[in-house]
Amino acid sequence: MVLWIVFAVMTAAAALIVIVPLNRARARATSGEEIRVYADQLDEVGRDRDRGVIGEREAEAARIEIARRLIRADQAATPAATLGGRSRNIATVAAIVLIPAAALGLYSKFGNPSLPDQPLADRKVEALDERSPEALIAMLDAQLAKNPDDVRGWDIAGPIYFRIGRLDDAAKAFANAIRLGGPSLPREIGLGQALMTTANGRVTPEAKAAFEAALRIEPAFPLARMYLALALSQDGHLAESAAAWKALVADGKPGDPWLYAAKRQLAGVEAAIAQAANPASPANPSSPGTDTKPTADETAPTVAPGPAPSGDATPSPDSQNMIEGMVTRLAERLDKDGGTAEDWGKLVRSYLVLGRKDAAKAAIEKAHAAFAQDQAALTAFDAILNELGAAR
Amino acid sequence: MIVEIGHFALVLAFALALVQSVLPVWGARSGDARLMATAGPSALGQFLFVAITAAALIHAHVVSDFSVVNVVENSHSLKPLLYKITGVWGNHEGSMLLWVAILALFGGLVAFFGGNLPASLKANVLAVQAWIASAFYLFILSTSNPFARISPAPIEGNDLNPVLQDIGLAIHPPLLYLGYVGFSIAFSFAVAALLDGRIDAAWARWVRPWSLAAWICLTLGIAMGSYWAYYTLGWGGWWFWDPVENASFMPWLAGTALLHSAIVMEKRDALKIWTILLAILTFSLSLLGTFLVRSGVLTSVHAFATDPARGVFILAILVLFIGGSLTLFAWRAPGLKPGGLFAPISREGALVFNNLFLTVGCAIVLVGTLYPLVYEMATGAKITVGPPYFNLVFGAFIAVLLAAVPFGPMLAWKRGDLLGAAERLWFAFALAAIVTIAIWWPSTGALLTALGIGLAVWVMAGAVVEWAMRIRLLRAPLGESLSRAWGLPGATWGMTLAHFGIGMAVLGIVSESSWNEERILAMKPGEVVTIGDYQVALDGMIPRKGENYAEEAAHLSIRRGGALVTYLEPSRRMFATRRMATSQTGIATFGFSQLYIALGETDKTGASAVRLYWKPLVTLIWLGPLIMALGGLASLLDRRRRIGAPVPARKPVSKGGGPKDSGPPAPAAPMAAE
Repeated sequence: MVLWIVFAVMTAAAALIVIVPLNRARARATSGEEIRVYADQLDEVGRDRDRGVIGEREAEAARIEIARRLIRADQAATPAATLGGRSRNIATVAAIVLIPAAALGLYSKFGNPSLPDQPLADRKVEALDERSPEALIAMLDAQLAKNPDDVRGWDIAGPIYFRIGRLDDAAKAFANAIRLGGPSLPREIGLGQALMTTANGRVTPEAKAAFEAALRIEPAFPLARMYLALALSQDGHLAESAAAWKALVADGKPGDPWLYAAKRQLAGVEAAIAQAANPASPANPSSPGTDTKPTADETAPTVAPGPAPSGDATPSPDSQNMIEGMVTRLAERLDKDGGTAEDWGKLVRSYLVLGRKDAAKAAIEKAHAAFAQDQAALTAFDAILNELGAAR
Repeated sequence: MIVEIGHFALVLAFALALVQSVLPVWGARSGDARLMATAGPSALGQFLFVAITAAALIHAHVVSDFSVVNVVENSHSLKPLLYKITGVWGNHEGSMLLWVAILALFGGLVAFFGGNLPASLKANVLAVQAWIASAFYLFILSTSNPFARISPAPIEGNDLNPVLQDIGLAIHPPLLYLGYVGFSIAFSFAVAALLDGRIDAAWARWVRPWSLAAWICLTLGIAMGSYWAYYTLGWGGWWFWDPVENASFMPWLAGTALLHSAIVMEKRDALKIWTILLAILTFSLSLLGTFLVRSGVLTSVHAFATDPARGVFILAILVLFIGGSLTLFAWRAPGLKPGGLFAPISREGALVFNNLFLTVGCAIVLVGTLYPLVYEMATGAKITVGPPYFNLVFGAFIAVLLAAVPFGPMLAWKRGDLLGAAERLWFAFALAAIVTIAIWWPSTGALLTALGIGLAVWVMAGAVVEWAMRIRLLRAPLGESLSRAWGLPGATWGMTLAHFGIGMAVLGIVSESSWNEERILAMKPGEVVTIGDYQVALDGMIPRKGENYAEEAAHLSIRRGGALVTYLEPSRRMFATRRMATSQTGIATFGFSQLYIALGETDKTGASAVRLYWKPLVTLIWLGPLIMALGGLASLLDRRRRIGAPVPARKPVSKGGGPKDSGPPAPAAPMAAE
């Protein structure tokens, strides 16, 4: 309402600006401004002469020329008249009608009278949960710009950037988190996925390095293994790729969400191998490595700890060796450097998966010994054991 | 509410401009004083409403009102206050608003100070201003509305292009637009005079202050833009013959010709058609510049807008105003009364020469600027017309004009004595010749450089000699000379300063282009490099944080002969929001020369790319225009009338039989002014 009153006042002022001079009793109707200029020029000639800027002869010549112009201007000058009321009335009506009509017509087309001002200072009080996702992301950006060393911030930002498609930022966020907080499974996987998505699904050497780093943390992590297997086929190492997929499929148990994709990939790679060996055979319509991009679920950067590969499936000898190698390395690392409750849990779970119950038991004992001084870790470890269903 | 008030004020300004387009012309045609009298108040009202509009937009930027699209796209809550304000015109919509605001400002000034104008001239001038303004208001409202809103409002903006986050943005565009748009007044005066059918010396007197003011601003604006590019782009270049630069340079060339031509018209009632044509051309080139920059037909740092709808609209404005005014010119100009006569060798003749050369120089730049566009339109292939074309063609051409500059002021009005002028200039010529030989002799091969420096000395010395003659320096007692200098009119000081300034600029340009030293290398902390007479040591790198950026600065100590002279800290700034880096150069000025250091990336081994330049006399490139603008100011403040006393016929005129109104005494080979 106030706004419309202001508009009305402004419109009235604009109309008055035109109407008042139209109806002023004495409009200026002078003329002869040119004559004044030339008269001034004549005076100037005299002054220049007096100061000696020009000589008498030049001054005389200048005077004659200016006088000639003055006479011409005098003859041309016609005093402006003030005509009668008709044109004035037309103009007045036009001003009263046209100005508001044009202003309101245009404003109603382009204006937003119902939108209030929203200076930022007034909006800071908005409750957090009333804010739009964009607002929250903007806050996150600002927070990280202010504190670029905030590990937690980067951990939060990475998956968010990834989901909204700011892939470069996501990769930077994961890399920053690794730089500041050390490698972890979600960080490495997130980094690898961000790099890979940026490269349109190609597992670049950098992405490969990230997935390999993830496997160093969790040697059997299926998602990382899948991407690495994909990388092998993308690089043309079909036989190695097929072996890797076979190992993965072998480790999978029915119901694992990734198993179907792994089987399809395996089929694709094997078909490609067959085709390479016998080019005459009908081509597989889908080339390996590109047809089954990781599904939305698989690419989700928030990595849930993968379900442990259970002993149901019988692993092929090759992959059996590989897995045992990884487990051995993990055990050696824990013996030497110690580790967290999760690490020991991983080792126990691996032994159970491999069916080496004795080794598992030994590992549990070693862990308990290691955690003797650390009640919190001990509790955490026992909780993991309960989950695994491993009796003490 | 403030945002919408600003929006409504813009609409009202448009409505007033429409009224102002019609009523005053109607009054001038029918001789109705009251209708004509609406022009002044409408122009003032228009300015008032545009001022409200601009204030509202600036307010929205300052308080970060992200419900305004323009603020979202070009601002950020963390941006320093200065850049929140300057960011208002650092984008397409805002800069168009600045454009009409300055147009309205000039209209208001004419309305306010135009009391000495004939009513019909004033009415017509303001009506023509309103035509231009109406076209641009419509353009802004329909294609580039700075008050477009967004709801719900984003919480943060996209930030301003970091390159523009500089004090240069506070000065350069407003000055440039004051120049560009200021020439609209000369245009309006020309069109009004053509409508009225009356053009005389008085007209030139009324146009003079406006075109002079516009010229001063344009001169400063271009120089400022050049210096800004120089220190911010990090490559040490100060003029790139970029179309955007040319777009501002062409109106300057035409405007310079206009100034000279208008002097002849005011003093001698001659060169009327030249003056009218130049007034139309100057503003037409301003419009062309606006089109080139605002339509997005170019792709350069300056072209922020890339919307074809806008381009077509501005093109239509361009065609309408340039085509319309030239048609009017072709129709009315032949009917103009011819003015005073003069001999080819005379001050008038020299100024015709000047007009010709400046106009052709302008055409050279125009061709070089538009040729790639036309070529791309015709063939689809992109080509660039590079600096070699401009430097060679324009440079050679303008060198001829510069060589002639000292002669002009030495020639008398109406009929001059070239030999006499040459005689009086012997000192300047001797000095220039000595300098040229002194440079050329020890270093054979640098003839072009020597000639360039000689030319600059010639122009500067010529200006000084002319000044010395006027005050009878060394010919009269010093006291008399000083009192004569004190008594010299501002306009004369203006000419001397302006001509001296162009000489300074030439000196700077030739010196910088010929003797510029450049080193580009990777430096590690502790390393020392020598450039010019200076040893530059990289002491180390300093990371720093600003309000909206993080920067890596190099700390460099500058030594000369082992003694510490100064420190420089060039840096690279990273702006998080736009994820862009800018270069902050480190510049140390020694006399008129500069040591210029820009910092590049730092690699893994800790070595930083450093670009060092030694630029002898480089500051003269910008000090010259500064002196020129100062000259313009001296002339602008000179409230006296300008008269040009002609040299009478050689035979002394007897008292009794003085020249009657029978026309001027016939000079040898009289030449019609037009």
